[in-house]
Amino acid sequence: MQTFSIKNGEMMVSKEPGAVLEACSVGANLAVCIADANAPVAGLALFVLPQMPQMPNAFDEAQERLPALAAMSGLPLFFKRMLQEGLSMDNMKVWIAGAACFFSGPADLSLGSQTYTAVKKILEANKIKIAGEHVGGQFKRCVRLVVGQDGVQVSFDDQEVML
Amino acid sequence: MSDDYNAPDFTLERIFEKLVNLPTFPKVIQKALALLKDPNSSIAKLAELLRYDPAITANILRFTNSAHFGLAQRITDLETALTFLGQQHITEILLASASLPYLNTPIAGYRMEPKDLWRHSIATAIAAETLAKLCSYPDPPTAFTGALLHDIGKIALNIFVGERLEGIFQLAKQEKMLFTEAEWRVLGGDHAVIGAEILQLWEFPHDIVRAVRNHHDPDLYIQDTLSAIMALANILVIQMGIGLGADAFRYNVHAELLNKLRLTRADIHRCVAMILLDFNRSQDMLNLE
Repeated sequence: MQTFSIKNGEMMVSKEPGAVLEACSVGANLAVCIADANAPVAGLALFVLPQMPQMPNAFDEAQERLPALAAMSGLPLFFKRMLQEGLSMDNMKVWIAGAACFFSGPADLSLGSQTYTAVKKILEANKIKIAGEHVGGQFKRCVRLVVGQDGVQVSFDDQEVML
Repeated sequence: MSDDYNAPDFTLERIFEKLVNLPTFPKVIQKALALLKDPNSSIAKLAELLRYDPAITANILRFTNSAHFGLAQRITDLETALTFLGQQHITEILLASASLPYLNTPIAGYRMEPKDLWRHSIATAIAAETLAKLCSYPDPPTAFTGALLHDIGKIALNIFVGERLEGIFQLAKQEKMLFTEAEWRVLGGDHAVIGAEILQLWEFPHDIVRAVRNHHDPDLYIQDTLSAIMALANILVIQMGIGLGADAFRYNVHAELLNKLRLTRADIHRCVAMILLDFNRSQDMLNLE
């Protein structure tokens, strides 16, 4: 079965039952997984920043090549693509994983918590519940979901959990 | 916890003794970098030096003819390619070519797959150069070079004390301590100290040696700009999850790091975006996939 590897700033939506969507080496970035097991359709986006930065010379390129660079602009786009592929808002589930953090550091450098806050804000504003989350900690993660199946697998530090 | 961890056993001294057995950094690259900095040198002299190294020649031609530049006509001779590329791109290709044999290796103790360290090092180099330009640091290529080699000490540890790295990882995890503290407890030093020693043996400039030595020590890297740039570059690349090892987030970050470099949160967000775009381009061109 096909496996799609999603990297920083990318999003992938698949309707192929059994296809695997995975993001490995998830650090402070935040993997948002959305699935509708009935449709079936599933998607994974890997957000890096809370909002798009001002980049006079490269803004368009960043938006085109990294649609999931920023949560504020990328998450609505991600939902739009999922809906176009048959997602039902009544049947969907949302999981989030990532946002690792250092032992200590200034808030301006805590990209994980900034992105996490932005994602939560958007979901709450749209009354979308999170089915499961695995965030924070001092470790990298690998996040996997399979189209047509319920749940998200998170591997970290020699351990594995199902959300 | 085993008593092994309670007292250094002069492991560090033994590692230092063995460093002379490491393959040296290619002299041809060091000569080429010196030529690039010499205002009296020329592209012809550089081409004459590099033309006898088939791997470097191939990399330079492959990079020049990559889709990134979109040339209408293929360039097939080295001197034309060097003229077209310019100093910055030449430096980056030379360093990337020379460091691949060292950095493209699995490091089991740090839970790093083949290419993880290379990917992490290239991204950190790009990040350091981006930050150097943003902070108006006068020598961005030096920031690139130092950052590319900032974790070279991990390779020496893997070669000489690979079997003990798992113990360091477990110690850091179980006692929730900084990874460098665990390295000091077990080895009497950390990978940054060992990396600096290697670069000194390879006769790299003192600025680079110092920045590599300091890159995980907040009290030290806050003292000078290049060290601070290298530390911040590493921190940003870790956050982006690029080529992470088991030690990735087990560090402290100095509260004044951004102030030291006069950077704001918005600057950091812009940097992260630029780093990702440039890193993706480098993956396409250097076949990092």
